[in-house]
Amino acid sequence: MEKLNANNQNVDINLVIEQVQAGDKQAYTHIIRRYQQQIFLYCYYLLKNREEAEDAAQEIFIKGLEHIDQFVPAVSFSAWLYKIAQNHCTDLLKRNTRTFKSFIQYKLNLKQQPIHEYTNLIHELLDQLTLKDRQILLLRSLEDYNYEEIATIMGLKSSTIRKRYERLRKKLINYNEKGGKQIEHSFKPGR
Amino acid sequence: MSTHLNPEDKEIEHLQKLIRNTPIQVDLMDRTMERYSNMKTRRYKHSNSRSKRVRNAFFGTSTALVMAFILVVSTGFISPTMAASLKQVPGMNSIFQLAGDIGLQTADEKGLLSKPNLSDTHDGLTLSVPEVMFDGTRVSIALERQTTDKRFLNTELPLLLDDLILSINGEDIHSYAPANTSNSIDPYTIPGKNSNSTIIQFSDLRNQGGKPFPDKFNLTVSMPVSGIKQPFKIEIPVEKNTKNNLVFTPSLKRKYSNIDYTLEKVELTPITTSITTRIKLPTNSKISSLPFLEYEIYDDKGKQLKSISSNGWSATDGNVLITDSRFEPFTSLPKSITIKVDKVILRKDDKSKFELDKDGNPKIEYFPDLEITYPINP
Repeated sequence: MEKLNANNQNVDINLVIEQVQAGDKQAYTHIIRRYQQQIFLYCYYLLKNREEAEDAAQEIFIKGLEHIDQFVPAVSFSAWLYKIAQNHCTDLLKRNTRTFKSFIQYKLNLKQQPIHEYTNLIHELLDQLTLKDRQILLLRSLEDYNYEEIATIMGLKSSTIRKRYERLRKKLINYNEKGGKQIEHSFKPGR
Repeated sequence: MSTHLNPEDKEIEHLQKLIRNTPIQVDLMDRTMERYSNMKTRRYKHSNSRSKRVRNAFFGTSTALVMAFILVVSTGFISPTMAASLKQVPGMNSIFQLAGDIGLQTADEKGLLSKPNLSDTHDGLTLSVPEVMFDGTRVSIALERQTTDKRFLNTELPLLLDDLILSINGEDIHSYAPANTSNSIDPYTIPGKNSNSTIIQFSDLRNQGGKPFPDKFNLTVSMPVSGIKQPFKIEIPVEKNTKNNLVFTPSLKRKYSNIDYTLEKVELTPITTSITTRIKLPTNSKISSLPFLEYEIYDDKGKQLKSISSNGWSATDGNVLITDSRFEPFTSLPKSITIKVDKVILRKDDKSKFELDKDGNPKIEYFPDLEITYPINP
């Protein structure tokens, strides 16, 4: 995990960022290597589809590269990257048809890929949460961010994040005890 | 954040660990860099022709409009009714008219909606509700943004909202959901006429064990926006805009393999066609073992209605699934309706992709044994 306090990895990443900002685009591969797994999983658990998640992760890294000149180390680079990821995934999810399609794909894939046996439970639990809450839990899980860091990424107050985290925690525990599954989709009507 | 964890947090901690250790490895480096360089080249090539394309499209549209108008006038084919409707020029500004399905367009044309003109303003951003429709099967709310502040303009309106919290007569909307289940009433948004507008829609779960929305209620929509301290709050008086909805409870049953299927309810309003279906499997089978089923609805002449939304719920590992599916309205009352059940076909070589037909639409497979034709006798 990358924190504000300088550790070796952080120093390296900062050097890489400077290199990329100075025009060495190829150095950006180090950044992709460092964050690809987490950014992919973040997208995967939001979009519920491996192919779309890989696609989204690539687009997020491309956006990062395109705007790397705007990055200032006031926040950690990973937080900056997750902010892009958050906006990008939310954008994809709000295009309703897409949600619908990935939902079908996800449902139909359940039985066909062994990986789904592992992720099925996670998807089901995450399905109980609102998009924002899912993002909070994923940021906490993948990067162990604290409330303040999550608040910076999501553009909310850290007290809001804390409250939401408490709520989602209770909701998940409650769900586990109660059981239940909801299936819902919607898409844009045709004219 | 305090790293102190409650004892009950062990479950959450376990979940976090599962998420972190998901056994899917990706290698995106080469693909990403390749895409980046391809994109740069393509973008450069396209940048010159874009404004021209937009202009052409604009002229194309206006020419078509002018021609249609001339045609009507020059043939002298203007009946009194038509003259009246031309005078109204319906929906030049209406979000329902420009962005809604046929049902919402009908609501605008027939006045089956209310135009409350309510708004809330904070920090130079105004959110307003110009149109509201409730026909007993769905609530549709047009939402618009007015601002000159760039902070609030760099994203589409639905993305600006951090959340959509609804309450009815001061009570959390979730109190209308079926008790003691995880089934919930979730609003969703569809694109509006432009990036400054959207339509929020949701329905009650009366057919799935929840409380029906009253015919008349005060709906409070609370919308937190990043960077603004207070959430936007708009209290909207909602009143059922349709009278005499046609409600049928056919309870018609069909069976295929181990699937017991029932058409429980059909509700026809001038705005929406809504059906409630029940799938039941033998006691030891799970709904999750089924492929994802879709419903299609046709009139007696074989004309298909477009889908608006659907939602269903089944208990974990349960064997019963009740689904509400909503479609556009029938323009005239059909003698009968036919409801078909289908599933989407996946590609054999890659199960994560749809099998597409020659037009690029996902291929589907019908269950002829589950087809139901129901005569409409009001």
